[in-house]
Formats: sequence, structure tokens, C-alpha cells
Amino acid sequence: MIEAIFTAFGGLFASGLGVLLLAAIAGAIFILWDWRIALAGAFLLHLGSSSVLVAIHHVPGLLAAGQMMAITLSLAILAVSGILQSSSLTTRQAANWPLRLMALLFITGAWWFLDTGYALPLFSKMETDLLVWTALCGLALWSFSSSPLMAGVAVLIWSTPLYALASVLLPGSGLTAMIGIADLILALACGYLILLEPAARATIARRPALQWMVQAAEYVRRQLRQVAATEQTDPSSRGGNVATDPLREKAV
Amino acid sequence: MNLFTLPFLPILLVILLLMAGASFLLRAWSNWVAIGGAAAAALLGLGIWQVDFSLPMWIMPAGWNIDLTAALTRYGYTFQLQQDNMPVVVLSLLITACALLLAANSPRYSTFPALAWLLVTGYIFVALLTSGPKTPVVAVPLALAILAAGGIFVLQGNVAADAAGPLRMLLPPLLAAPLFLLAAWYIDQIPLNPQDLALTRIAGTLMGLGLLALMAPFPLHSSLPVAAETATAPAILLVSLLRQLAVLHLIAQVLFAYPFVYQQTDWPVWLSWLGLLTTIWGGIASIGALNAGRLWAYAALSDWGLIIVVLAAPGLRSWTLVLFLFTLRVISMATSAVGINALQTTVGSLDLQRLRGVGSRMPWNSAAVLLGGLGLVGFPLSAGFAAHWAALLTLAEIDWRPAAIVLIASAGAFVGYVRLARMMFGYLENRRIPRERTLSAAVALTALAVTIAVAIAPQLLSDTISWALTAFG
Repeated sequence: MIEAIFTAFGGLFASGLGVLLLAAIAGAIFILWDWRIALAGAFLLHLGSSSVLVAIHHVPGLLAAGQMMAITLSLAILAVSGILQSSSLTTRQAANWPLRLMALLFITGAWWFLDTGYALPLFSKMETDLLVWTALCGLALWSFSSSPLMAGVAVLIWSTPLYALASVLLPGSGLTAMIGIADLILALACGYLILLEPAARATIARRPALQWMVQAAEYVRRQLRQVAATEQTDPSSRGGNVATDPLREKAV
Repeated sequence: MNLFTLPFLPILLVILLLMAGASFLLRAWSNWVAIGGAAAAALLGLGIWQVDFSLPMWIMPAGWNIDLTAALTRYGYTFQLQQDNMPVVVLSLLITACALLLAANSPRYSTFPALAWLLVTGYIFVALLTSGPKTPVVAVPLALAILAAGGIFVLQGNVAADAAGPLRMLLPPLLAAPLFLLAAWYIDQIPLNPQDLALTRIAGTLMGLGLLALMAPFPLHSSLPVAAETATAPAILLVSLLRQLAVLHLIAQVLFAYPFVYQQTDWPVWLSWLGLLTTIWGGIASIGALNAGRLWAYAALSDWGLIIVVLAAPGLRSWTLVLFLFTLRVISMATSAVGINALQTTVGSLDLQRLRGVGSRMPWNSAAVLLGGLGLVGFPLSAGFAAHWAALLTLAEIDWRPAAIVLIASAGAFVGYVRLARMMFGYLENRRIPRERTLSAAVALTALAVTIAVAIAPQLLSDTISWALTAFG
């Protein structure tokens, strides 16, 4: 049953498009730099990676399920900590997205230039490239910020190749379980650091996603208020006269 | 009549976990818990030190026996007390005793004793790991990553502070883990194709790089200098020394089991360069340090760089020197930690500006900070001098240039301590700083006495180092 589920996902991810999708998710986590997207992306990366391991390398489904359970728990720990301490996150913005994109392009260029054609034992070149790319994205995520939440996600992304190496190259060593335990404890430690982070000062305002609509609504409201104010100060515009307006009558 | 033979390791595990639990439950009396824990750790360490492996049974009253060398196997991993890991267990316990004793003087951190017991339990069981389904050293980086995560709790200590330092501590073991996993696969292939030298070369390169990452040389060094600004001195002492001892033990195990790591790779060259860079950076950064905790960490970094350089030529002589340097490092760091802990507790910060003139109010603790720090630099008449001098002579015999570089780096760290001394013994601006308490002064005096005794007669340590060599030589 478990293996069937992972094999089904493996059918989706163990193809050229699937690998590209996983690579794009890893890159998008770094470029978008939103902790909610990062948590969801890390989950998808592990789901894709473990499914590929089951479908291609015949890793037992139970191991893949264990990996997913450890990752889900770790992500849940980070998510709860992030929700509880969301005020500190804005100060940890690691530059803007064009700069992060440039950094990623630089990494890609350097990797392409230095590529020795090495493939990990028992893995294809494409799988090796995916694992290396994932690890590089994890490292980039880690090195661009000292936010414990993003570092926690980076650790979980970094553990994708660890699971692959342990379950394919060293089967029966029990190291996969140890990596899962390590992930959980590392997520706990990062969660602890998130909760202890000093709260951010409101120097950087968060921009709502549909800010232009909010601004437009605000503009319309302001215009309406101005019209209403004009009408109040100019009674002729609303058809008043001395007889009906006591203040004006007094002034006259 | 023997009724029961109990294995020692489960008893040790239960004792350690009970100590952690009791320390947590009694944390309201953290000073007494820390003092009691220090005594217990020291007694346990000294008790294990007395183990005679030719008579590996402790005969208890009523016919109970404790088998000291009985193996404990769980999930294919075997833990066993052996001649070659006993010194590491004992040293870990003694370092913990030292940190707990210091923690008795820092009332703001009540959960430290419990966390310290948990951390040392982890490090002891890493040292006791003797075999596994694959080569046991493969699991060590992952175990060190878990323990580094435990170290985060110890370092942060429920204080809302910058998380950068503790976070960076996770990087070296996590970088090393995939390299070790990959190396283990190549090592598994060697018996299948013993003629293929490429296998040993690749395995050696991967494992060598993994060991380098674990040693956290420059530029992976930054976790402790950053953390030292806010974390308590006992926490820094415990986390850094336990980790470095475990890494040194792992290096000894790897080099003994897989000599191709240094025979068929450029590992010694990498070690020499990275060790020199580390010691240079430690010296340069010390000059500009504006915080006494950071200065202490940079001086320790400079000393650690020298240990890495000495490791570049593994052998009996260099291991003797490494252990000599490490033992004196423990003494110097502990001496410094005594003073820094007292200053941090009394003044509230370790920024140099706020320590102006503190020497007139807390002379003994200020002296401990300076003498311990100078010991890390290898200044004459300090604890570290003999080991630094021996290391410099050994290096100079091979090539005088690295020795000169180490000497210049040490001068940089010395300049940093001269600045600190001028600041501490300058004009006292903050007149509200109280005079040091008698007990605090007595602890500082004891630390100074130990440091001076070792500085005058380093041969006091020769028996200890010879005994510890069984785990490394």
C-alpha cells in the first residue's frame, strides 16, 4: 500500500519534467523567500525525492514513509514556531528577489563551468544533478540569512541528499532513521531559536499581495470624503438657503 | 556466589539521565544542583579512570557484579567501554564537572546543569560507539549534528539574543555528513577490488574533507566568536571543548582505521593551510575585538589553528603534542571562563567599554581572564607556553615559515589582551560595580593557582597525557 502510493508519485516525479519541477521548487524557495512557501516547498521536495527513490532504486516504502513522517513533523514544528513568532520575520529579509536571483544564476553558472561530469555511485547523472542542485539551494538559503526559520528549512532541504545517499548507498545501516531523528532535533532547536528571537521593530512594512486594490479603494474613499466635506462647507452646492440653515442665518 | 552480573553501560546511561532529570526538577536551587553535579561528574570521571581492564569486574556487596566491558548493542550499533575510548569518556566528564562548577556562579541560567548532563551523555556514547552495520565512524557526523542541535539549547540559555552563532554551529557536522556517507560506500567497495587505488583515493579524499569540515577551521569557525558575546562562559566552555574532543577522537579513529586518508591524499597539505589560516584569523580578529567574550573565543581559535597545523603530520609525536596542547587549552579556557563568568554576572555585559576600570573592583577575576587568555596565546609564564613552545619548535624543524606565522598570529592575540588589560585596569567609570565576592575571588584564585602550577611545572601533566595517548596514539 505504502509502496504503491510512493510508486504512483514516483511516476510523476521520476521523469525529465518531474526532475525539472523539483529543481524549480528548490530554486523558487530561495528566490521567493517566503517562509510559508519554503515550508510547502521543502515538503514537496522530500515527497518527490523519496518517491523517486522508491520508484527507481526500490527503496522500501516504509523507509520513504519514515522520511516523510520525520519531515512533516519537522516542518510542523517550524510552522508552529513561525506562526507564534511571526513579528520577527520581516527583519530577516535577505536582500531583494533580483539579488537572490542573481546569486542563484551565479551558482548555476559556476556549477555549469566546474561540472566534472561526476555521477554519484548507483545514481544517474540527472539524479546527481538534482541532488547537488537541491543541496546548493539549501546552502544558499542558509547563507543568505541568520533567520532560524529559514535556516531550519535549509537544514531540511540539505537533508534530501542525505536520505538519498543513506537509503541507496548504505541500505540496512539504520542511518536513514538517524537522519530522521537528526532532522527532528534540528527542527526543535531551530524552533527554540525562532521563539527566542527578539521581536522585530515595525521598520519594514509588509506589503499585502493585492496592494494596488487596497490603494485604489483608499483613493476612492478619500475622494468621497473630500466631496462630502466640500458639500458641508458650501451649502449652495446642496441647495440650502438662509432660511433653512441656522448657522448661515446667524452670520447674516 | 555470583547472583547477578550487571552490564556497566546501561547503568552509566541511567545514572547520566537521572542526573539530567534531577537537575531539571531541582532547578530552583540551580547553584547547589550545579555544585552537586560538578562533584558527581568529577567522581564518575575519576571512578572510570581507575578501571583496570585486566580486572573488568566491580564486585559489589551481596554477590552483585558489574561487568565494566560488557557491550551494549541496539539496532546493530555496539557501544563498549574500551581502553581506547576510556580517556575520552573521562575527559568529557571532567570538562563537564568544570563547566558545572563555573555555572554555580551564574544564577541567571537555571536549566544549564540538566542540559549539560544531556549533552555529555550524547558525547560519551559517541565515544563509546565501537561497531555498527557499516563502519561506525560514518554515523559520527550525524550524531555530532544532533549534539550540535543540543548545544544550541545550552548556548542560547533562554535568552532572547541573536541566533546567528548557535545556528552556525550546525554547519560543520551537516557539511561533513554527506561526505562520510559517500566515503562509506567507497570503503565498502575496497575489499571487492583491492587493486583499485582510485577507490581508496576517493574514499580518503571524501573522508579527509569531512574531517576538515568537522574541525571547523577558518572560514567555518564563526559560531563560537559570535555566540561568546551573549552566551555564558560555562556554556561556551562545555560546548566547544566537548565538540573538539569528540572531533579529535574521531580523527584518531579514522586515521588508525583508514591510513589512506593521509597517505594517498593531500590531507596534510589542506590541514597545514587551513590551520595556518585559522590561527592567523584568530590573531588578527583578536586585535579588533570589542567584546571580551569575542576576544576569548578568537584567542581560542588561534590556539585551535595551531592544533590543526600540528595534526598535519599524524604520528605518535604529533598526537602527544596535540594532547598536550588540548589539555593546556582546557586549563587556559577554564581559567578564562572563571573570570569572564564573574565579569558577565557582575557587570552585565562583556563590551570592553563597560569593563573600563573593572580590574580595580574585581582584581582576581580580571587576572583570571588575562592569564587564561594569554595561556591560549602561549605567552611565557602562562599555562599554554610549554605546549606552544614545543609545537613551534616541532614546526620550525620542518619549515621555519609556518612557525613564524603562528608566532605573529599569537602576537596579534597578545595585542588584543593588552588592550583588554589597559581597559580593565584603567580609570573606573561605573562606580556602581560592586567588589568581587569572597567566594568568587577564591574560585578565581584557585584557577590562577592551577594555571601557574601547570605553567611552572608542565611535567605534572605528563602521566595524564601518556594515559590519554591510548585513545589517540
